[in-house]
Amino acid sequence: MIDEAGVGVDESDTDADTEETTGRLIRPYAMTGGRTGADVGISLETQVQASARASQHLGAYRWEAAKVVELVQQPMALIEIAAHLEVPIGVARVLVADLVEDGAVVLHQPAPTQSFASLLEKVLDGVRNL
Amino acid sequence: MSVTSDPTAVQTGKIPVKIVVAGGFGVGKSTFVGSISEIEPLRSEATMTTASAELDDLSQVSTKETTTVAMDFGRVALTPEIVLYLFGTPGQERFHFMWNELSRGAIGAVILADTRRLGDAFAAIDYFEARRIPFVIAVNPFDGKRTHSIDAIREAVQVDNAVPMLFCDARHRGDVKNGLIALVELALQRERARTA
Repeated sequence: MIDEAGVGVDESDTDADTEETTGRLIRPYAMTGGRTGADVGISLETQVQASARASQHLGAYRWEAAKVVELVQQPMALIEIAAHLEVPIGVARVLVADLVEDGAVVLHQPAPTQSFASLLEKVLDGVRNL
Repeated sequence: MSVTSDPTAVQTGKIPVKIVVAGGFGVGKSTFVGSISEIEPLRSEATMTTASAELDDLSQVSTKETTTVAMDFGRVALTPEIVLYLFGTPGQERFHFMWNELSRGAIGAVILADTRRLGDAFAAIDYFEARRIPFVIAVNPFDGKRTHSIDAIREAVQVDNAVPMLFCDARHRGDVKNGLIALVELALQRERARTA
């Protein structure tokens, strides 16, 4: 598993602090303890936002979790988080799920007040006005 | 907005909707997304490890294969409350694991086809047809030359007349917009028929 993870060791070996401070050398799935997030129900477009309590946790987080909290001060979709972190979507999903559990971020659930047809009507108007 | 007692979820005015942009390699998916997105399209990756179906004849040991699929996505606000996400994703069958996730809850798909390589669109057409997900076929005319009629192309790819098909230069925002309008109209028509 580890051997297949695809992120190499530090070949330059010039700056030991780099690994500590940026975490760039951490293999993607090492961030999530090998979990891939397959069973966590957060879709690609789910909007994630830092909660008021996020700051209480920040000091305890490793760079990748802290970076997520930093990114989602304004709502951001899961897939955007993955892209900004440069990690596979499954990794971002697990990070977000853990942060949800901590209460550091919240997931936005659209209010289910309208039918899909009325949503599509609004989408159609919106696309026409682009 | 009301505050819910569940701390893990908040009600919000922002409603994300998504459209899949499918098609073969190099057909213009990223260009299509970039033409309409209000952000510079971002690239994201998903990986999946699969046990290889074939056994090595000599060792009789199965091998594991990691498939990585990269997709480009963009975003555009349609109304103050609705945000549209566009996902450009490769059309090969081995990437179907990603399509399943992408199509869940999607409005539908715009399948890009290139008149020089119409066959590259077949995998996507079969996928969305089989799952009854609304799709339109946007034909990217090579060098802007519309040397084939839509009817001729329709016959070549063997899709039903009910499937909207249009010319679409992925570099032109107006064309991209027309493709999206055709798709949303189709999805709305289907939804109304379903709930009638």
